[in-house]
Amino acid sequence: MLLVMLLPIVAAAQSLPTADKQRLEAQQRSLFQQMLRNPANLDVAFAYADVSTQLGDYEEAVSTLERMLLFNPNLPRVQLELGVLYFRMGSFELARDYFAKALAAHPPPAVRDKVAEYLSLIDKAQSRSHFTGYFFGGGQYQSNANVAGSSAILTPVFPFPVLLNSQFTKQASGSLFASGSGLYSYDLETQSHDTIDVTGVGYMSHYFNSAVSRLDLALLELTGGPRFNFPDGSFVAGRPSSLKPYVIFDEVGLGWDQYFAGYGGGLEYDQFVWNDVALKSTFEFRQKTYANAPTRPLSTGLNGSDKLFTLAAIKPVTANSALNLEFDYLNQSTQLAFFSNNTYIVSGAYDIHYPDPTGYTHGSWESTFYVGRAWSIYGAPDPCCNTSGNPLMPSLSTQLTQRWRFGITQTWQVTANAAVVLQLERDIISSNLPLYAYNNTSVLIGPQIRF
Amino acid sequence: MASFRCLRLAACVASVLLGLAAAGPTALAQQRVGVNSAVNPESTGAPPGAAPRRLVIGQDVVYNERIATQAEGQTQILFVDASTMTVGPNSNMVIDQFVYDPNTGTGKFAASLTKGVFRFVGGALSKHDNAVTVRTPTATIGIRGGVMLVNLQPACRAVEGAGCNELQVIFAYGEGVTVTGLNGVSQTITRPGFQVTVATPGAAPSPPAPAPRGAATAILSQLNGRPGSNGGAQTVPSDKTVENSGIANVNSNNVANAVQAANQNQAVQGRAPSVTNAVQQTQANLQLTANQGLPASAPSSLPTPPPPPSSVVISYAGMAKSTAGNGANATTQGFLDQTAGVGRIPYTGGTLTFPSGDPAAGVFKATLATAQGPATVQFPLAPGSVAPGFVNFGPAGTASSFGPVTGTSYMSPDSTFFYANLTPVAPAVANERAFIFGGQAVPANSPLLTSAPPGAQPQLYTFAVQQDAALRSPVPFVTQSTGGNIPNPSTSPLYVLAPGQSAFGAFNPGTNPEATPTRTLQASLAINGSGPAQSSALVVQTGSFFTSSDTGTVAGNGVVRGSFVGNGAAPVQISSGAATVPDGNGNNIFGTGTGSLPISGLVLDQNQYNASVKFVPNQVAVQQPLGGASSSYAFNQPATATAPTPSTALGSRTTQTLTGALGGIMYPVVGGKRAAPYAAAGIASVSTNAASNQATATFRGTDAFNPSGTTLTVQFGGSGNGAQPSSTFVDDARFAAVENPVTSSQVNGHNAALSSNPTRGTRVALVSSGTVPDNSLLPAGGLCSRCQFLQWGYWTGTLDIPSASRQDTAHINTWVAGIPSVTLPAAGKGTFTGSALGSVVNGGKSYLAAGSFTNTYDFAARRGAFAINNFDTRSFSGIVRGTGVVNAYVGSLTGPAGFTGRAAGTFFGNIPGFPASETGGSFALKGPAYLASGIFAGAR
Repeated sequence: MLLVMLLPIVAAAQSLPTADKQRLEAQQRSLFQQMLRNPANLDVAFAYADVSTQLGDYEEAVSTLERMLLFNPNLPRVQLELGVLYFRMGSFELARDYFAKALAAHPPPAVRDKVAEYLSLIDKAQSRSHFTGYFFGGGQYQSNANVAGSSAILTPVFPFPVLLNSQFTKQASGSLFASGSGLYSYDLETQSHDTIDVTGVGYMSHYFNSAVSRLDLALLELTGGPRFNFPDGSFVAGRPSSLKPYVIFDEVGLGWDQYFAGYGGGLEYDQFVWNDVALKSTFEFRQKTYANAPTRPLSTGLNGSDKLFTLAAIKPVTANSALNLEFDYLNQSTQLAFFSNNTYIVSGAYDIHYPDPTGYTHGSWESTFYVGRAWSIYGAPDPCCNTSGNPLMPSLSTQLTQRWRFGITQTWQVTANAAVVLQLERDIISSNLPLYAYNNTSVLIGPQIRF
Repeated sequence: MASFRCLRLAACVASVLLGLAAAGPTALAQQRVGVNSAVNPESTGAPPGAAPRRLVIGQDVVYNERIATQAEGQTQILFVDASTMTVGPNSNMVIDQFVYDPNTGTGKFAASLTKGVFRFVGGALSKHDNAVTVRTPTATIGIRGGVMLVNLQPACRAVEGAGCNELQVIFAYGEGVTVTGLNGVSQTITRPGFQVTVATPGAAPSPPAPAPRGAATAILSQLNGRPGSNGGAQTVPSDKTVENSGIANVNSNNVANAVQAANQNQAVQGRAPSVTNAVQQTQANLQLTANQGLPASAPSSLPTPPPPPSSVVISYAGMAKSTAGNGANATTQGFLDQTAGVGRIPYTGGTLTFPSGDPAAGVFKATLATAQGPATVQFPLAPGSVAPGFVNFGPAGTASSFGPVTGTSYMSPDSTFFYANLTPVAPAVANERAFIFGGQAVPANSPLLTSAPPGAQPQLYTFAVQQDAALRSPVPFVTQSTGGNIPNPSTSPLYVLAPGQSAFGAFNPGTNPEATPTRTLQASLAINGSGPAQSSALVVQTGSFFTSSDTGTVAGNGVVRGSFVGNGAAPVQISSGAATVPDGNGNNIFGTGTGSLPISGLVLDQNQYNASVKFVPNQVAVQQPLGGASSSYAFNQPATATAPTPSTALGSRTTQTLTGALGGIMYPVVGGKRAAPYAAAGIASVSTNAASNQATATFRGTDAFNPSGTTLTVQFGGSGNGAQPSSTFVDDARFAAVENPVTSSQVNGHNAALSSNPTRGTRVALVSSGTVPDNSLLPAGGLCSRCQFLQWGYWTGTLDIPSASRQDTAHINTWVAGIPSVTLPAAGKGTFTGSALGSVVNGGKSYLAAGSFTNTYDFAARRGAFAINNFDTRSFSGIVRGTGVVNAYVGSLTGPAGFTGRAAGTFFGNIPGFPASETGGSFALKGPAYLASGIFAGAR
């Protein structure tokens, strides 16, 4: 099931150009007629198998090569090819059977090695347990690492407005970060490949600037639950879909103190619509319990729950590019009403991969352009700031914050499982409360390893 | 029983033609459905109505032919739709139905299996629903695309219950295989490697489940040839044949493509979750969290412990000033020395540090680059404890180049501006004075500096002008000895009127000449005592803010005009520029640039900007005694924002022209020598413009008692650009103007000199009484508390007439102007009461005096009984009569022995049914060594 994670990224879809396909189909029809007239003609038979394989008509190639075994059952190369054809069709048990027969026939070393390679893949594919994931780490520079507001002046209600010291004003900083995620999947051996999925996400960052290191972040999130697949579209809409309820556990540290712990649940629903648009919707509920720390005495005010709804769509644009669109709605209900908010996010990304244009490497390149817009509407006047401008007649305002986020991610594939990733990102946050308005430019680079 | 029928004519024709092509004319009688593509004996075929025949490779397979194999037999049938059925040993099968349209790929294929092992690989027909059906004695199998293995063993019936299933269907590839038992129960297999079994006829098919390991192998072993057999082929392929075929190049050698193909045939839903999403969701609250340690940001009611103390450090840039050894003259000359590093020391990097939550413990510290080297200045700096914003401090915790100091500091409510007046403690330098200010510049991208006010409404900001640290004068811009020490002055705030059309300070004559300038106004009036011992002073400042051509920052510039009389002595004229003082970074205004207090503070001193708004340093303020030698001084006035001005603070703002009268005493100096003063009286025209926030005025006067004597025309305001702020109009009651920079005033027809130097040439000013409303000589409410249709005020200054080698100077003269009545009542009398205010020169002593005014006017007779009583202890009265101008009157006055006078007035107001509700005008009095001239106003 999870062979996809074994894939090098270069193994992208290899669709035949229309002209090639038509030429091959014509050849296939001609060869088939010749084969009907003379099924013992080996040249015709192999040519037919060749053309059918190129066209993806694996059944035709299979039936032809299986005929070769009726002519001569001791053909390890045919058994190898039949094993690969069944492998292509996802029929691993039959593939394994042919590979076993090929090995039993004491084949040449080249055939033996190839068989071993495929058997290794089948072992992984047929295992009920799968683990996939990736690691991404490196260095990052942020122009506003502490997400400080645009105003260096805080105008609280009491006792009087002050200028913020450097800790709370815009601080640039470099940082090191490491992140990773994994998916453990256990095959329930149902026809629809239903699984038990356990996911883990980890992230750690450390800032070089001591004024910002209080925002060093460590995050661990675990989810677990069954995934029910409906590959034949039997659930709804007549197209493949899947449903995954799951539980969530979070443990997050900030500044090397506990930040919050959380638990909750989610429901993910994936559905193909039209021919090639994949929709993914999730709803997640998290109950969060925050812990205060000396540098952030109000964190427990964030105690409460998050409700997140996400709707994402992926639409292939060309054979090597896709458009991603996403809408998110996040409702945060917190102990302090002025932290409660409704956030709406729309975002889009265009992803394209292509061969190394320099020709120096065999790895592919991938570029992703993305842009997002978020609106956060808070629930109560924020006591952070006196918006009247008059210290003697203070008035408070409810935070209304908008965010632009746009950037580009460039990935250079180095090996089948390793790449170097560079990301440039710009955040522009505006708010009616200057404390929460800020801009940040981020550059990060590092290796990404898939496994 | 199976049947054969043509679905379409084309299908029949196609089948026939295929048969013709493959088998020749003898096959026409039987429809060919395919060929035997491989045969291992013993395998037989029995066409309908014919005896069984031994199958051979290449032989046609026909509709309804029964295929049977024995223990060693195997055969593969290649159907015309490219399907294949491989038949294992001991198997029996009948082709029940085969219809195929090669043009569309549609048709029907049905076969019956009675026993054996089979492999069906789908061709064109199986791509369609319900097109391929295989019947067995225990179940019917429908296949859609793909590959399946069938193991049908009726012998299992004999071992029922022992785990032997009569039918086993293993799905290898495709969309699915449906097995329907005789009882009607169906099971569909969709996952390769899964199987369905049916134990016996009539039993329900088992649910799909993974085929036992080896089950597929067992079936395949019966289908893939036998050692020693050749499938009927004359040429048997070898491994070399396979290698040479090149099939590996498109198949086994392309592992990546094979893996991808495998993935495409798998239902792949799972992906490792995105780290980015999880992190971003967590970080959504980081901005809230990141600021939680802010000092004083937490309401005290929060159920959280206070944050541990941590230092708050605020950075400032500013300017320090010092009397620099001239301390003995501190109160008369101020910070006159402007030598960089000596008297004037800009700095950056100053810091205010206090423990978080304890701003009262703040300490300011800066290093000043003095001419003698770096010097540290340090003093306590905290929010107000003496008064809002003000704190006294020292000498503890202080340091300066003068040693310990005492002083007073001011901190703005938003901590963006402070200043401190420093007095050294050490006796040797006790006379010296120092001043330092610092601030956070208004951000260039702040709303104040980037956009016009909301609603395009002009915004009025007010500032308190604080005392100069050296001059210590309560009246801004002057020394104590030139009016600053007159008690109880009426001192206006510094008004800053930001236009509705433009951003604050956007004007620049080069880059943004179309912007409407931001204008400023400050005025003070001080009168103490009465009669010849009186002291009085009038000081007017007008200015503007603009974008400096030097630094690109917003700066302010203006002029100061004033006059002082001490104990009746001759007037002293005061003139100066008035420019904002830059900090060490060249910034001039300080604050957040937003909210109702966008500017928290600034400092003005006597320097100036030229017409190109470039800074002109090292200027001085000038005090010019009448006919005497001038002297220089410097002022340094912090201006601190006062409480936000409510929107209603701006009164009525009318674009209009008021006409009326002027009065006053003029002091001529001819050829450098003082000449006899004269009483000036005449016509005043005052215009205000609410769009440009400007005021202009033209005063035309004559010597009231010598019609052939001096005539003068004084031009105020006018069309100066934003850097030559000749006037400021706040509202109808508050405005001021200085000399018109374009149109010259005149004396006796001679043009008065204009100068770009604010201390030279003609220097005059006019201010409305509403700007400096308190006048101790007048009753509360001023000249006419009930008047609505007139304004009045003061004017001062010197008209410089180089061509006549003459200067005519006014100390504090007066004007009144209003909206003249268009008609007067046709009959009846009106008694007008109010006050009179005038300038007096009495025995060489100059002062102001006031009295009451009445005029009982008979509208029908156009005649009035006019009186000014108790004016400088004297009373005057007379009859006034209407002139050729319908709303004007004039007459002579008599008073004490030897005193005469004249009065001329105008009726103001056009209330329907009650016209001429007010009156105002000028009067002049003359007696022995006595001259007075002023204005009166009253209402009926």
